[in-house]
Amino acid sequence: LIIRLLILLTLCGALGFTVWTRLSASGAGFGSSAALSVLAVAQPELVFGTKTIPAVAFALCASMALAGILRFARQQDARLVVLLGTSLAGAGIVSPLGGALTLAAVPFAFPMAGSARAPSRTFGLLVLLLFLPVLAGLVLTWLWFARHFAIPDWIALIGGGTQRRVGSQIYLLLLFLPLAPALAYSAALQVRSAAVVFLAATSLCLTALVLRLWGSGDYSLPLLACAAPFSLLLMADLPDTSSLPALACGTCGAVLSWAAAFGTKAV
Amino acid sequence: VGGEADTQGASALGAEACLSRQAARCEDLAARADSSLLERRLLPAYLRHGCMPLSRNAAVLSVGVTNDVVRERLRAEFGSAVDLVNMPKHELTRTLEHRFQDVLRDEVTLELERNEPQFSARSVVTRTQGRALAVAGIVLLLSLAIVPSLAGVLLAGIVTAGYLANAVFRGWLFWVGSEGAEPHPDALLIDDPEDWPEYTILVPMYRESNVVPLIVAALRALDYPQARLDVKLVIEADDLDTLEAAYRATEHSSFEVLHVPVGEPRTKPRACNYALRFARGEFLVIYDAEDQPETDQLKKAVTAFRNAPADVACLQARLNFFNAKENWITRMFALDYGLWFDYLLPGLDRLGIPMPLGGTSNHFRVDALRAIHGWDPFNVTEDADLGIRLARLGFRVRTLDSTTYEEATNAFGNWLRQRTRWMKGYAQTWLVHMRSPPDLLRNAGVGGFFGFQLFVGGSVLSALLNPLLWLIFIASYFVPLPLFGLAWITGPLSAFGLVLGNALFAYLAMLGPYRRGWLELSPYGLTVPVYWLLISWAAYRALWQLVRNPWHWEKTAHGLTRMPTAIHAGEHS
Repeated sequence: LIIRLLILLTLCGALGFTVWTRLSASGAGFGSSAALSVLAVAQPELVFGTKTIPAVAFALCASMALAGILRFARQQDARLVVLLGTSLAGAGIVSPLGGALTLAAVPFAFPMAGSARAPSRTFGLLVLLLFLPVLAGLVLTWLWFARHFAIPDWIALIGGGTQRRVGSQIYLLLLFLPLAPALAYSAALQVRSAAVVFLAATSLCLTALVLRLWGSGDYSLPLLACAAPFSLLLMADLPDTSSLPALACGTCGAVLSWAAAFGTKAV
Repeated sequence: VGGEADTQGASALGAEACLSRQAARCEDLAARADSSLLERRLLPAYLRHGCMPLSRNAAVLSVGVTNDVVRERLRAEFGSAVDLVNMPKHELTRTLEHRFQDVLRDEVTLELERNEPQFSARSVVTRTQGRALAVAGIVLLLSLAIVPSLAGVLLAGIVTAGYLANAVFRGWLFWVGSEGAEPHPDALLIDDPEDWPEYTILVPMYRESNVVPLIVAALRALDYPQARLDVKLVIEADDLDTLEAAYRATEHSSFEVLHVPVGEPRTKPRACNYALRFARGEFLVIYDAEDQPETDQLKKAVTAFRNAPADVACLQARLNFFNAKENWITRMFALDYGLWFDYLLPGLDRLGIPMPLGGTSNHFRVDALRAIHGWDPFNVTEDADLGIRLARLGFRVRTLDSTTYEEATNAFGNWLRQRTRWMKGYAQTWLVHMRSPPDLLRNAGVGGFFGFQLFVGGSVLSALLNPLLWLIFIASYFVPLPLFGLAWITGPLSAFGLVLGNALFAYLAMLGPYRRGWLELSPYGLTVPVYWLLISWAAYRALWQLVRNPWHWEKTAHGLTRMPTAIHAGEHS
């Protein structure tokens, strides 16, 4: 129990720190940043979840991936590519479904480099960004098929769910599904980074609701758990972030997140 | 004059005619020069001051001078006691070359061995190293015979650990090296061209007549006062075609052509050692015959040297290829170089780990280079050895943020020969510097010691181990040998090493071209496992050559690309 608590505290601390850093960097005051970070971490999964650690771990990975995408859209360096790929892979390992959904945000990193506008370069960058998450997916697949390492068990262990109704293969397929839209979206070079977060948060919430309605409820809470951090990262990315609207938005995000959690539980 | 004996038997009449013309130009001076007046120990002084005694007639000494400053000084000091004869720089060099050719023939080969025998690769392994290798081999064979399963598992574990350690170390170097480029100090503002330091450029060439015009054009395009350049095309004395091409290309310039006396081993470092004797510059750089350096590279190097501590003896410029997109091999080569020069070497620089130099665009302080006795002519990657030796002798090597574009070998045979030489040279370098591990530890420090093991030794070892890992992995599933009695351990172990190691290598290779924005090359990084198998082929070939013919320099042919060669390398970026 103590070890679990330590891990949980560490993950929560890391998640809060990620959000706080991002908010501080965007000019929010210390108090506002701290309050918003606490709101981001204080998620329903911490109360309702039986798989709290994977939920927070996924929230951390997804938040870092999203922060990486937003930063990458402005400033490109090799380290960011590695950090982004690692975060995406981490999100995919912790929660294949959530990781797959997070991948959908990758094309929004592309408005970036003028140098990457040629199709062959865009493709090269896409391959670079997706290498680690796809590799993680392949390793999970190999573990499943060659080593009979049950993905559901794996997920149950750290991935955030125990239900087998949807079937592990579907989750593996889901991991690769975003590749197609990612390729398609790569043409949309001028999309504002705010839309990335909006899309990611919305798709996560919707997927969580659908899964919950379908009966795979355990998967929905981890997804919900990262909705609020996403919205905070979105705010941090908007110009002229001032404390009051940010605090209001953050509170709204948290309230929505909790409301959705109560709602899905009721369902 | 010099080298006529070496030119006998020339097949090309054109080359003979060209060389005869050159000989005639020096003949008159040589006939007047009294060899007994010239002293070997004063050779650097003759070159530095641009004057040399020619003959003595009673009380009057005839002196050849190459510039007005020296002329005035000699006139003021000695008055009518000297008879001053005008002499172009290249004729002075040629006359001195002729005079000291026999002395230098041995000196350039044996200087390092005579002064620092512990650093010479003339002996491949010392007696102690031979014994250690024999004992290790016997222990391994006995273990495999007596406890095959356990030995197999241990072997797989060690191999996997070594392979992964190398991959992880490179990943770490990449991380450190990818830190934002250090702000470059503003270029030195020097108005008077005469105030720029004299810069020696050495271009060793062998059987490369086809690319001589390219390098001459690239050197002429350099943004550096031409009067302060001391350019030397360094050519084997019996390579008549290249000599002819060199004389033709440099006819109306101050570039000099040096005739390296024929001797063994016939290697680039031996030619460089010879040319070092004639270097006039405060700084010196080596370019290959097909190189296209960025035009401001020398000014950047001077600025960097001026801003660096005195113990920085060498700057390694970045290398990449102007024909990177020609075919699969050139693309893979470009990934390799991108990773190596844009990330790994800067990583070594930042961590203070001894850096094996790349074969070209190494900028040196000439004094330091002479102090460590130049290059090892018996090492076929003399550059890598020199970088380590500089570090061990208290100097530092840093990277220079300027690129030289080269021609990547575009044919497999050529690539294999070049890679074999590199692997052999790295093995030589590792063996030389591991003759006394405690000394290396003392000289390089703990980080430097282990960095050297992983970066130099690990490069060869990884290439040798890679196919072994594949074999163990496959065999552990299909071959019912006692060796694989513990297949449930060896299989996953080698699979883990293979997947993680190859994935890391592939990922790093894909990141290699990132700094240059050549992202279209990144997907080719996925084929790195195949490329690595080819490198392993070269590594085993190198191992065989190390035993059979350690100093043999497998020549890499240049000028084979069908892609346009840009003179101004900036066009590539």
